[in-house]
Amino acid sequence: MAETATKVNLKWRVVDIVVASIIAVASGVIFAGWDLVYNIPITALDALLPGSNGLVVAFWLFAAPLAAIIVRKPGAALYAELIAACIEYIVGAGGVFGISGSIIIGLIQGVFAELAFLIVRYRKWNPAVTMLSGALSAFGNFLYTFSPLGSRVATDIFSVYGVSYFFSTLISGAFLAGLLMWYVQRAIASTGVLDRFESGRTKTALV
Amino acid sequence: MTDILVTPPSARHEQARPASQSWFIAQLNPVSRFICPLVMSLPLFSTLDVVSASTQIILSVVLLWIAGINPLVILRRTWPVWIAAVGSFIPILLYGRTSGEVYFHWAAIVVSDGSFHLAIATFLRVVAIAVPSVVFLLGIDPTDLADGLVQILHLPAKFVYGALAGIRMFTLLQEDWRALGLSRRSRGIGDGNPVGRVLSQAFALLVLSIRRATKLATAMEARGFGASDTRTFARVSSLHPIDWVGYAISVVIPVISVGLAVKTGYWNLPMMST
Amino acid sequence: MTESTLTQSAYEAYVEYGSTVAVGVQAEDWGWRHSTRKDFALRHVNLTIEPGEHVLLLGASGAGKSTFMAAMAGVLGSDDEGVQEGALTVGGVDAPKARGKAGLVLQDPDAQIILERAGDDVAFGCENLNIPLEETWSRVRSSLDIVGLESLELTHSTRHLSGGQRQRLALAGVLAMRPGLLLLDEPTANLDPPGVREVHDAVKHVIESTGQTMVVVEHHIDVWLDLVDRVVVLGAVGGGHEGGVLADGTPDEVFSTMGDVLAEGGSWVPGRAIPSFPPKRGGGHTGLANVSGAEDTTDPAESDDVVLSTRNLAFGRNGVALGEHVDLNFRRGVIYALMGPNGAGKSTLALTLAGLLKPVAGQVLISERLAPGRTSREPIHWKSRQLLGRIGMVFQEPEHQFAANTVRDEVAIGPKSMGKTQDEAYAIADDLLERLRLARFAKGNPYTLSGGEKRRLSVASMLAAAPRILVMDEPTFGQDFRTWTQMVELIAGIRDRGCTVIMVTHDEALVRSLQAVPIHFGVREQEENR
Ligand SMILES: Nc1ncnc2c1ncn2[C@@H]1O[C@H](COP(=O)(O)OP(=O)(O)OP(=O)(O)O)[C@@H](O)[C@H]1O
Ligand SMILES: Nc1ncnc2c1ncn2[C@@H]1O[C@H](COP(=O)(O)OP(=O)(O)OP(=O)(O)O)[C@@H](O)[C@H]1O
Ligand SMILES: [Mg+2]
Ligand SMILES: [Mg+2]
Repeated sequence: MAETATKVNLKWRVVDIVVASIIAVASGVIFAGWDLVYNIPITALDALLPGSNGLVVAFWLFAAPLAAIIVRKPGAALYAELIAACIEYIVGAGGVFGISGSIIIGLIQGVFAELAFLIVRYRKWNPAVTMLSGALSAFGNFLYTFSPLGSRVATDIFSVYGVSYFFSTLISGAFLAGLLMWYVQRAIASTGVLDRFESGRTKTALV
Repeated sequence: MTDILVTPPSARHEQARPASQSWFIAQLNPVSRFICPLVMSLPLFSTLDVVSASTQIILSVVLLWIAGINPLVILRRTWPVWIAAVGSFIPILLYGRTSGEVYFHWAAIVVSDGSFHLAIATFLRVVAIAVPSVVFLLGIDPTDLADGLVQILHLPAKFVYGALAGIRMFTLLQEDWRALGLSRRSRGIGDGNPVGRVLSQAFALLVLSIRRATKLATAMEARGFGASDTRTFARVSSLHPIDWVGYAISVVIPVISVGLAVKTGYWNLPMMST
Repeated sequence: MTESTLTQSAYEAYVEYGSTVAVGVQAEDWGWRHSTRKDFALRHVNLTIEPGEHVLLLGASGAGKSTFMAAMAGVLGSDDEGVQEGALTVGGVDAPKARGKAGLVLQDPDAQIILERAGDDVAFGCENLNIPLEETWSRVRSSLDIVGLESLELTHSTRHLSGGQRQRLALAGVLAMRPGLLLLDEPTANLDPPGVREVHDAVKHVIESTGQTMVVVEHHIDVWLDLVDRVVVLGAVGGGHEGGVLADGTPDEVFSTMGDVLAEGGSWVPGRAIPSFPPKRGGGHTGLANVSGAEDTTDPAESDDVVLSTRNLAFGRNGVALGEHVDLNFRRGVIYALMGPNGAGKSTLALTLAGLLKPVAGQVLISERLAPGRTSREPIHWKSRQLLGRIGMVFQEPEHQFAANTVRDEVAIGPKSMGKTQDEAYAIADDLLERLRLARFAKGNPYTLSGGEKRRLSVASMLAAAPRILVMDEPTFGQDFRTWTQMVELIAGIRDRGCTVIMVTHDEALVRSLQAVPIHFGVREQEENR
C-alpha cells in the first residue's frame, strides 16, 4: 500500500514548512496542556508499577513522527519536535520545566525521532518506520531524563524504577507516538486536506 | 433608513498587551529573553544540591523584584512550576538513590535520608530553573522573536517565518475552535458524550488548521515568499547595551549560586556519586 | 462618497515609488489537472495578455478561473500536485520562476493574512522582494490608505477584522508589492457597496498610474467594466466540453456577439434580466411591519405567524454589545435580508438569532409552536439536536461547516442525525447536489472544491436538514448566473413551504429577486469621549 519508494523529492516547499509548523504548533499546545496535568497520571502509574509512568511519555513525542509522515521531508521530525517544544515553552509561558526541560529535551527527542527516517534514507514511509521513530524518540527522552540535565538524575538507571521506565517508555513511543500517529495521518489524509502532499495521495480513486 | 444601530468600528478598542510587567525585561530583545534564562540555568546542571538551587531562587526573585515584579506576582504566575516540582520530588523520594538512614522500605520503594535530600534538591532545582524562564517569557511577542532569530541568530528566514505564520494561526485556532463548536451545534452533531465530542472536534480542528496552513502557504508564495534567498527586514532587531547587562547578570547569578555550593561543600554531581 | 484629500494624497504617495514594469502572460495550449481529479480543471487555454492590458476573466463557477490565476502567480504547485499540459509564461519566463512579478489576491480573504499586526502583514511582500526599509513603510501606509483602511493602526491585530476588512487588507498587501501583473480573484465578493466602489477606485488609480497589467475575476462584472479593455471567458471542462477560451475580445464585442453563448455557459452578462421570485400571494407579509414592531401588537411573539422574535436584544462578541435594544419579529414564510457595512455586526447578529451566540442582554425567542416540548423558548439554551430541523445556520466561512469526508456525506449529515435511514438521507443529498450542480463531486472531498462550489455545498447541507428557520450568511457569494438562479429558486422554494429565511447579504439583486424584507444596519454617530 503506502510502502512507497517513489521518486524522492527532498527539497522543502513553503507548504511543507507551514504545514509542519502548524502540526508543531498544535502539538506544542497539547504539550503545554499536558504539562499541567501529567503529574496525576504518572503518579498513579508509578503507584501500580514503579517507573511505568514512561507509558505516557508519548504525549511529548508525537509531534515528530506525525509531522514527518505527513510532510515527508528530511528534518521534518526534528523541526516539528523543536518548534513544538518552543511553542510549549512560549504558550506555557516558560513552561514548567524551564528552557532546558522544554527546548533542549525537544531537540534531543527530535534528533532521535529523525534518525529512523534517516536510516531508511527518506525512502520508506510505513508503520514500521514510524514506530521506530517513536521508539527512538522515547529512547532519547530516556537518556535525557537520567542525564545530569534531567529530573531523574538522582535515580539509578539499573534500579527497578529505571528499567521499567526504560521499557514502558519504548512501548509508549512505538505505539502511541508511532503507530497511533500513522493512523492519525491516514485519517487526516482521508479528509482531503493533504492533497498537496504525497502522503495525501496514496488513494487512487480519482473524482 | 436604518433599523439597527451599532457602535462604530473606530470605537471598538483593543487594549494593548504589555511586553512584560518588568520594565527591565520589556526592554530586552526577545532573543535575549530566550537566552538569559538558558544561560542562567546551565551551570546548575553541574550539581544537584540544596545550596546552589536555593541561592539561585533567592537571587533571581530579589533581582526580579528590583526589575519591577513583585514576588507575589511571581508566585501566582508560576503555580504550574510548583506542581511540576512536587511531581519530580515524589519519585526521587521513593525511588532515588539510597544512602544514610532508611526511614521506610516497601517493595521497590526506599525512603532514605539520602533520597530525601536528593528529592528536595531536585524540587528546588526545578523551581530555580523554571521560575526565571516563566517571568522572562510572559508577554513575549512571537513576531519580534522571529525577527530576532533571523537577524541576530541568523537562523534561516524561510523556516522562521514559516513557523511564525504557523504560530499566528494558533491564535486563529481559538476562534476556529469556537466556530467549529458553533457549526457542529447548528448541524445537530454537537451533543453526546463530552469526551468523544471533544476528540472529534479536536480532530476537525487539526484538519481545518492543516487546511488553513496549505492555503496560507499559497498566500505567502503569492507574496513572493521563498522565491529568492535574500529578503529585507521591515523591523530592525538588534542587541542594545541593556541586553548585555542582562547577559552579564545571567552569568553572575549562577556563578554565585554554584560557587557558594562549592564553598560550603554541598556541590554534588550525581552521575559521579555512585 | 466624496473623495477626500486624504485619499488623493494617498494616491500620490502610492505612485511615488512607481518602479513597476508591466509584464504580459502567454498560455499555449495550457492545461492543469489536480492530482486527485480525473478531469482537467482547464484545458487547451490559448491566450496572450500584453503588458499593460486589463482583462476581466469570466467563466462559470468551477470553470477553473482560480486555478488559472494561481498558475499565473506561479503558486499552483509542483509536478506531483497535478498534471500540467502546454506552457504558461509570465514576462517571458516559466510562471513558477516568475514568482514575485505577479501579485495575487486570493479568492479566500481569510487565508491571506500572514502576520499578527496589520502593518507587518502588508510589509511582508515588500520584505520578500528586497525593498529597503523606509520605502517599505511608506508603501505600507499608502497602500492601506488607498484601500480605505486609513484609520487602521499599523499595530492593530489582524485577528478580529471583519470579512470585508480582511479583503481590503489582503489587497493592500499585494498593492504594496507594486507587481507588474496584478491578479485579483473576486476581490469584492465580501464587500459592502461603498467598499466595492472604494476598491474599484483604488485599483483604477493604481493601474492607471503604474500601467501594470491586471487580470480580475469577478462574477459581478458591472463593477469592473469601465476598467477593463478585454474580456476573456473560460469554458468548463467535462460533460462533453473541451474547455479552453470560449470568448475573447473587447467587452462590447464579447457581450454583444456572444451574449447568448455566455448566458448559456452561466456567466453574468451586463443588463441581464434578473429572474424574480416574489412570495406567493397569501403567503407571508410585506413591508416593514415586521421590523421594530414592538408597539404594533401587545406581544407580537404570541401572534400567529411570528416564529422568531427578539426582545430588547443586545448582541456582540465576548460580552461587548455591538447593537442594543433590538426588537425584531420574523414571520413565517418571509425572507429577511440583514444589510449594512462591513464589520457592522451582521454575522454576529445572525449567529445570535440562530441560537449559537449568547445574547449580551435581552432574549431571542422562538414561537411556542416551534419550541421543543416544554423547554425554554430561547434557542441558546437548547441542545444541538433540538436546533436541528428548527433553526439552521449557513456560516460565512464555508470551511467552518464541513464535517464529513465526502461531499455526499456532508449533505447527508443533517437528515441522518434527524433519524432518516441511510437511503433516505442519500436520496435527499443526491437531489440537492444535482440541483446545485455538485453531483459530479459527490465522492470528492469538500475541501477540494472551488470557492463557489464550497458555498453551494454549505447551503445544500443546511437545506437538507429542512429547518423551519434558516439563517444564511452571504448565501450567494461567488456564484455564476446559473448557480445563482438555482440557489435563489431553492431559497424561494423553502420560503413558499412556510420557512423563514434570514440572510446576511450585500447582494442587491438577491434582495430584489426574492422581495426580501431588508433590515439595515447603521453605524451610530460616534460619541465624543470614546
Ligand atoms: N485542490 C484541488 N483539488 C482538486 N480539485 C480542485 C482543487 N481546487 C479546485 N479543484 C477543482 O477544479 C475546478 C476548478 O476550480 P477553480 O477553483 O479554479 O474554479 P473557479 O472557476 O475559480 O470557480 P469559482 O467561481 O466557484 O471560484 C473545480 O471543479 C474544482 O472542484
Ligand atoms: N470571532 C470574533 N471575536 C471577536 N470579535 C469579532 C469576531 N469576529 C468578528 N469580530 C468583530 O465583531 C465586529 C462585527 O463583525 P461581524 O463579522 O459580525 O461583521 P459583519 O457585519 O458580518 O461584517 P462583514 O460584512 O465584513 O462580514 C467587527 O468589529 C469584528 O472585528
Ligand atoms: Mg474561484
Ligand atoms: Mg459577516
